[in-house]
Amino acid sequence: MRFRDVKENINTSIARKQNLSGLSDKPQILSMSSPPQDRERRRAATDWDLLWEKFGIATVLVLVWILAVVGTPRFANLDNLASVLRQSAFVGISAVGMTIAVLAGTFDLSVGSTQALSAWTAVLVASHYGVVPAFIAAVLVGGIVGLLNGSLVVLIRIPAFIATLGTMFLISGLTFILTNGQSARFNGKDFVWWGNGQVGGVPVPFIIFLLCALVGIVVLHRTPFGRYVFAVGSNIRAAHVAGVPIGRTVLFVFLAVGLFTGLGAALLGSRLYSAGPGLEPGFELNVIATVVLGGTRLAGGRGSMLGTIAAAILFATLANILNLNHVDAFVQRVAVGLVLLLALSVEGIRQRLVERWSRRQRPTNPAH
Amino acid sequence: MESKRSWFAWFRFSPVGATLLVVGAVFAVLTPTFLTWNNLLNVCTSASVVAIVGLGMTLAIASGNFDLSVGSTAAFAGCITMSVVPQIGVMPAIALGIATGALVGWVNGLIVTELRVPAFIATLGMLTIVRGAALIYTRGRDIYLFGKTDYKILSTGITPALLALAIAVFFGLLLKQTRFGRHILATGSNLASARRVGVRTSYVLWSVFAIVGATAALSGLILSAQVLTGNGRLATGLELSAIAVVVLGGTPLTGGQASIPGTLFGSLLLAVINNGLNLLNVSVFYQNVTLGLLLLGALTLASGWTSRPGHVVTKDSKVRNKQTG
Amino acid sequence: MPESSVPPVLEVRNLSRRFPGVVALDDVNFDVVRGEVHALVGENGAGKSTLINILAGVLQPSEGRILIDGAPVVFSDPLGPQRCGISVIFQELSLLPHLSVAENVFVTREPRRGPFIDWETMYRNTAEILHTLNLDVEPSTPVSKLSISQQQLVEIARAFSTKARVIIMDEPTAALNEREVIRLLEIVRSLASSRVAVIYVSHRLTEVFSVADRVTVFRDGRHISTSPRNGITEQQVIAAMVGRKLAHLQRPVRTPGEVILEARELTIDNGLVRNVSFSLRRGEVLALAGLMGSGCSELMEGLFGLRKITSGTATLDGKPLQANHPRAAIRTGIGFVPEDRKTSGLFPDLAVTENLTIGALPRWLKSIPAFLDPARERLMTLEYKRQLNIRFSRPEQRVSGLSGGNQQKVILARALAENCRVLLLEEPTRGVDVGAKAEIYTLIDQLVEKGIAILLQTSELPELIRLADRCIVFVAGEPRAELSGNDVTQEEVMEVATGLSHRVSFRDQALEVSNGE
Repeated sequence: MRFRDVKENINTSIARKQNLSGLSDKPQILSMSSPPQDRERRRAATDWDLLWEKFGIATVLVLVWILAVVGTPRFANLDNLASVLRQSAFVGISAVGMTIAVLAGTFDLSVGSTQALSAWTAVLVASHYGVVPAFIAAVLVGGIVGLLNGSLVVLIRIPAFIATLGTMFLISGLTFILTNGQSARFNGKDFVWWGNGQVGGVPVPFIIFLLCALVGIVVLHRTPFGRYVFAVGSNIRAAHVAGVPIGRTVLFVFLAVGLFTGLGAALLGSRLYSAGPGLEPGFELNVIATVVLGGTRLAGGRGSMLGTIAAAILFATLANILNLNHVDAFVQRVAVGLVLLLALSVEGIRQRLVERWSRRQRPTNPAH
Repeated sequence: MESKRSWFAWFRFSPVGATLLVVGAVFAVLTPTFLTWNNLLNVCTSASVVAIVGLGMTLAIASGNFDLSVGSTAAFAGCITMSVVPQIGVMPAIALGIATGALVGWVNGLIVTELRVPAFIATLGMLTIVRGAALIYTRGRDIYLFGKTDYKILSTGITPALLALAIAVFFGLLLKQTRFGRHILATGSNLASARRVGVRTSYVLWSVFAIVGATAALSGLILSAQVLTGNGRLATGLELSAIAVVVLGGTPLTGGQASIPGTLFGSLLLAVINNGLNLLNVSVFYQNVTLGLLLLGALTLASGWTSRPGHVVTKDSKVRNKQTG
Repeated sequence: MPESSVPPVLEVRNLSRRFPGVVALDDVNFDVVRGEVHALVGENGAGKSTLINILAGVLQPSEGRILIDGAPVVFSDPLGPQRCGISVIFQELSLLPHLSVAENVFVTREPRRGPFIDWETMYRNTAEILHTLNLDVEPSTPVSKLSISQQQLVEIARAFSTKARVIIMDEPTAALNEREVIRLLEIVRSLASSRVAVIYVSHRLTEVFSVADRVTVFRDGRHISTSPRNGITEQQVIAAMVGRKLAHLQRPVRTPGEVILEARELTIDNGLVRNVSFSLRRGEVLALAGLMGSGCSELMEGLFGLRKITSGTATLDGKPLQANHPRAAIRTGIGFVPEDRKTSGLFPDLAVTENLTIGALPRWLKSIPAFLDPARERLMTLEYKRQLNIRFSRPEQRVSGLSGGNQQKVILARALAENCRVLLLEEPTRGVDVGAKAEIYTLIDQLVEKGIAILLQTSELPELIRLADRCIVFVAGEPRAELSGNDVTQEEVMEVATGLSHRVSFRDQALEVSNGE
């Protein structure tokens, strides 16, 4: 059925108060008994959930910032704050794509290698052809890797976990080969402005991050593709029965992850004036941690792009605080892993408590 | 049910065995140095390192899980052991190293069974944490072991191969002949059913993770013995090799089955390929690519006869089409 | 013969179990004595599964007591019942597919010699048990290679090997053919003769009356009656299962239009369903009746693209039916309401609106430039809310918060929003309370009146009679009879549909197992 048909139907219905699908005005209703209290209670519980999902991390972020300002005075420096926002963008842009993937019930472990390859491509192309081709090339590279991942998962039906693990090593090896182990360097002013510049005091990468998140939100909530993403993540079997084009949707999801990663990579290359193999070890974990911490459930179907934004800033903030306090770089990486596990554990503990509660309606004596 | 005879039969007819022979023959033709004793010993050693952790990974996959933290565990155990050999001697140090690995595995098991975090993400997080712990412990520097030391025995001669074979025999026996081993397979075969009939799945999974950690540690000890250095950056990517050799060996990723000889031959295949490429002066960077290609290729072939229409596999979830019964 | 002088081996008293919004079990009493087969019958939603889950240690009761040999017990986990000698055989079976028959039978009790498994003893003991059950398979065979019927016997073998005193079977004959059913019933009687208490949960009355000593009826979570087999008739059981309330509502007179869906010699999935031919007209309800596994739902799924049509032809409005994928089916005007809305119908985390409009979104290619219009979707949802009388507070509300009946209406609205001309309904009122049931029947009447053709699959006979103009009865994958008009009565349908063509009687003979056990 065509979209136009739906629109027309609804239009005429609004205009003429006519009924859809020819149903008569009021079905005869027999009396229906329903226990409203239980349902009310259930609804209230889920409303709280929704609120926390959407704004919980942002709240935590604000709290952390307040603590940081109080605890580490140098934090409140404007330059420092700008630096935090700038740092959050590189993981954040990739996390926008990853959020879509996790919402669809999958994820991509190859974003780290993709980032290295794309960033190197960007720097290389920039030094020969200029800024615009550089960004296009980087995004293209990311997209191709994304399509590769998508094909492996959808067409060859390899579990996403293993498929992206394989491409992670494939691409990282490929990067080593292409670069011969060397980083590419370029510091052309037009190019590096994107990663280092500011507009009205706000770092450019952060602005692009927000724009990407906006695009992500629009895609997720205003396009059929976005709706299908949620459907596939929520209940893939029901999606199949409901006629959702699952294969195409998942393919495009991986494409999206690759495209966003490519864009973020170009900015990173611009920021660092260089890029090469082994660019940022542990990147994929940072990205997944950001998404999970931002409130998007690993099982898919529920999540928040706003949460991802907040979580990205939060991670950058934590890294910054650790830096300002001269904490080891290695400790920072450990901290990311710990925070991720903590966030996931909370979910797991919650699940167990719910299970335990629903199995017992009252305290019981232990069995003999 | 299991006898030496079937091992040989398996080797002759399995794809890995055949590939191994073919690839070995190809390299033997291409480089004269391939078939020298020295080189073959090298191949055996590197195969053993991967095989040991691969055998642990085989148990994990048979039980329905993965462990991505084995590389970090290997490095961590290597660092710890290296740093205490002068104080407490070689054997106690080795024991401590393995115990460290088992402890890391135990923590993995805790996170997966008690905190209900999916295994791949839990071990992904632990990967970073343990790697970071190793780097913190060594302060980013290498720990050298000076002077002549017995520790080197771990990596010299046929010791690694013997260790690998011993572990293979042990795990093979475990899986085929002991209650615990059968319960590992039961858990991987159908977790819900296993729980319902009384298998202590939490205990089984927890133990499996501890075992994986211990094998990872042993691999790490051998690696560090090769260079007599404890390095926090050791064994990055070991997890992929481990998973790859399990897949190559024919153990399905869905759990419930395991092929110990398969993992051994998969390790040999991987080692032969890497060694051959080295000898042909192919850049070491190609090894990662080959590894990725091998893994994906093996999976593609394996999935060829398991895919069904309307069947998209995301993460570790599968859509079940309503089938007969 | 059942023993009556000692306390029942298993008894529940005043057992209740509540969930948010629904009472699954309401103050039920039930018991079983050693050596008897006690059948528990009831429609879907009657509370049978809840009782089984409580007795299996999977759920805790909200109130009431469980007594073993007269003494109260509490099961905190699935091991509790096992320790008391209670064995539950679930419908989906609890087998470990990669392991052998023997290992499944003896799992957690594997005989050992030192640290190793004593395969010889295990195989020997298994072979003995299999022999007494007349199951002719090698103990070393992986269970995945067995047929469903054989797998079931393996589960029984396991229960038997644990010297279970109570064996609970949940719809054991759902996937069996007639011969296998008889074999199973023989074994059930033999178990009883061996002093095992068997709780046989099923709604297939011919089997029940062939095998049971007592028959208990549950309805809507309540215990309705318990009688010895000879003290009650099938009609009385049906009446008790169904309750008289709905049986009186009349089906409106309908005037079907031209044929819209035509099927000739259809075969689904290489023979799961065979030789199906029928015509469906606009404005009529054609019901598919038959026990589970008889082919009704498989046929529906085949028409919708969830299963493969392997031979035969089907035309929709003169054109060949596009049934290779649900997407194609929806596009050509076929709507589908699956029988299990939780697993195959709803998106629990998504809003009511999103669940409702999912099938009416723009097609993929056209959707690249297209955007959704939430305001219009909202209006659409509210419109359907009005017409179908769906109860929810806001369209943005998560659909998991709705009651069963309202969820079902949402799925119905989804099919309507897709502008379907043919509607396939699978168990349309499963898990729906009485009032919403009646509403849905009225809705179906109205849809039919407007010219929609409905193919209905239901296991609730009163519902079938209330809704269907015609009925095709399926037995073992093939259509057996077609009834129309006044012929569509409960008795007619039951007579043709039951798995057994006649009741079977058994000589009670205990199972003999040699002393090697």
